[in-house]
Amino acid sequence: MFTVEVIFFLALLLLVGSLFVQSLDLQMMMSNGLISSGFLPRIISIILILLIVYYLFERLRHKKVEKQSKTVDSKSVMKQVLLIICLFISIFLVKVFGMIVSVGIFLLITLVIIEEMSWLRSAIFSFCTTLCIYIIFVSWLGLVLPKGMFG
Amino acid sequence: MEQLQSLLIGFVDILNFDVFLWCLIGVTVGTLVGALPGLGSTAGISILLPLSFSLGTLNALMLLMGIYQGVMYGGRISAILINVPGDSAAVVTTFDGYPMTKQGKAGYALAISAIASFIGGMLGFIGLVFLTTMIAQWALAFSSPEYFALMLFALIATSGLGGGSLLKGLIAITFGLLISLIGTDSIQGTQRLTYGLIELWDGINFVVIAIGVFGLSEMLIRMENSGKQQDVFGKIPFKDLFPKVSDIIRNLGAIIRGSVVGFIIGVLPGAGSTIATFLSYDLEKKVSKTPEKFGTGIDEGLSSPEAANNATVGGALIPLFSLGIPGSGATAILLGALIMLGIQPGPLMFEKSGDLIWACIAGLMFANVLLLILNTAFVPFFTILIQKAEPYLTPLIGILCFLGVYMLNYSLFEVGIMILFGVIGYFFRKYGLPLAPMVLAVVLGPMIENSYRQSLLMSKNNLSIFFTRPISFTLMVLTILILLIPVFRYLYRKLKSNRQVEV
Repeated sequence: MFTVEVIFFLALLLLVGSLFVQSLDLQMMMSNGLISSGFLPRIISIILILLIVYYLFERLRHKKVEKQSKTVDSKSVMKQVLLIICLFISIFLVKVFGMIVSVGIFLLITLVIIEEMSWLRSAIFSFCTTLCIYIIFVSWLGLVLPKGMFG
Repeated sequence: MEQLQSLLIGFVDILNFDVFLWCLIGVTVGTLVGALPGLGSTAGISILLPLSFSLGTLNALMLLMGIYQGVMYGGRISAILINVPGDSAAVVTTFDGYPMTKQGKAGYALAISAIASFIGGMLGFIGLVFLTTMIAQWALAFSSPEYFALMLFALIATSGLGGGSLLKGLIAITFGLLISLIGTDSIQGTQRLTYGLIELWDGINFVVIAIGVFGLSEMLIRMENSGKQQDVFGKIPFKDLFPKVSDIIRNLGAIIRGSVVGFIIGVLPGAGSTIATFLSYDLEKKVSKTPEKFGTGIDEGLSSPEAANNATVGGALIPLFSLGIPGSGATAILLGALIMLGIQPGPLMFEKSGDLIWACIAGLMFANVLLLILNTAFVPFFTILIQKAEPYLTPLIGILCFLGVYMLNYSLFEVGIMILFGVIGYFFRKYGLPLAPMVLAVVLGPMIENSYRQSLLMSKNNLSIFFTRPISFTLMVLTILILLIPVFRYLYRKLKSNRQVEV
């Protein structure tokens, strides 16, 4: 748990660091002495880097004290990763099958794999939910959702 | 009197079927979302927010206000019935609400808490009606330095007042501020921190971030907690849902005390409904002749915090409507929503969109009445839904997040950004970094930057402008004091331990 926390904060540090590098391309001050568009991004990213480094330093100092924090079982982690993968795949599926069908597939897969429900129950729920979404968003609210190959 | 006249016109404006329908949808969905364990008001509003963008302004406002209030009401249902608070503000409700359920008085507990919520909400709105315009008039004197100082104060206040670590709060705020700088600089038109991606030229919409960090991260957290058994409650007799007038009168003192505490706490930035409920419970215990009975299922221990919880709604809307400054995560989302609906909250809002805002306030009162009916007569329906919806909730939240973000700009890129922020939000939650200040910073970031740069333009780059004007000076001093709280705490502890050693 502690290692994951350190990895997360290092990743955050990396993200902020890359934003800081981006801010170096921007002008800090204008010729008339007023602050320019690069001023705040640079200042804020430096402050954030310092805060994260200080936090990591503090956590490493108190590592032993909080070592026995709540851990997540590997099955839950697998499900979480799977859910994120399913969501990313759904983005690509929207282009192929359209929004409504992709939503149905996402629901079916997550109910069967993540919630461990039977295929029949999942299929019925997915179909009903997809139908409700179509009625509410397309028929009632008049939104245009991508249709993919069915368009 | 002028306020009452405007309020009456507001009531006339909402007298149509569409408005009624969207208000009803808002309060029903809001109550359901609030009743589902884990989903708080901020998450509920964020997930359901995109639904309002396809509606007319008034209908959208009614839907949003209905959801906001519904979530505040709903949190108590699961707290009373299964000892699992719908949100953090409902934690106190479990103290006396759940013991009542165990005594077979679930119906009475639900009804008395609904009535307390109703009275608390109404008193909060009365305060909102009379104070908002007064503060808005006063705020007309505000210029950029005052706004900068006020927004900075609101941000810093939300970071540490919740009782968490100030360092974590500051990390969350600076991260939110940095994210808010992505996109085109509104003063010079320069592209900033976009990695060369055209999709980021307009910045990252706060709704995308809010749905990611509140909605998607909630899904991931739920997956860790799935499979935990919840206590089963018995049947609720229908007649228990309508308490006697004598019961209401007996609780009236506690309800009014709770409402006053809730309203005052609601106005303060960063304090929020959770603190209000704990404070009102504590106050009630102190004024009670039988404090030892608290925690065993006593009426006052339930009605006072519930009134406080709902009175914070009216209080929290005062700085939002009059100054354009949100003091909590939920009001930050509402601020963003109002801006997206073409309303700029702030001192000039009553002049520019007064009719809409008065209709909105009237709608809040109307929603409160609807909620009282829903939360008494229809409570058995909600309790069945809580039990049945549980296994389907995770995928459903996922779909709502996915569709909600897509509907904003019809962009799948934004859906990807939402997933990324969902993961970030999950780790923020896991490691105790507060999400509300982060989203608040994203919403306020552009306004803070503009007022900061305008102030420096006014003073020719002289930072003393923030300390030479009375209002901004006061706010800056308060901000510095909040930042120094950890130092004061450290000194206090050291002084205390020194004294103990001497003794």
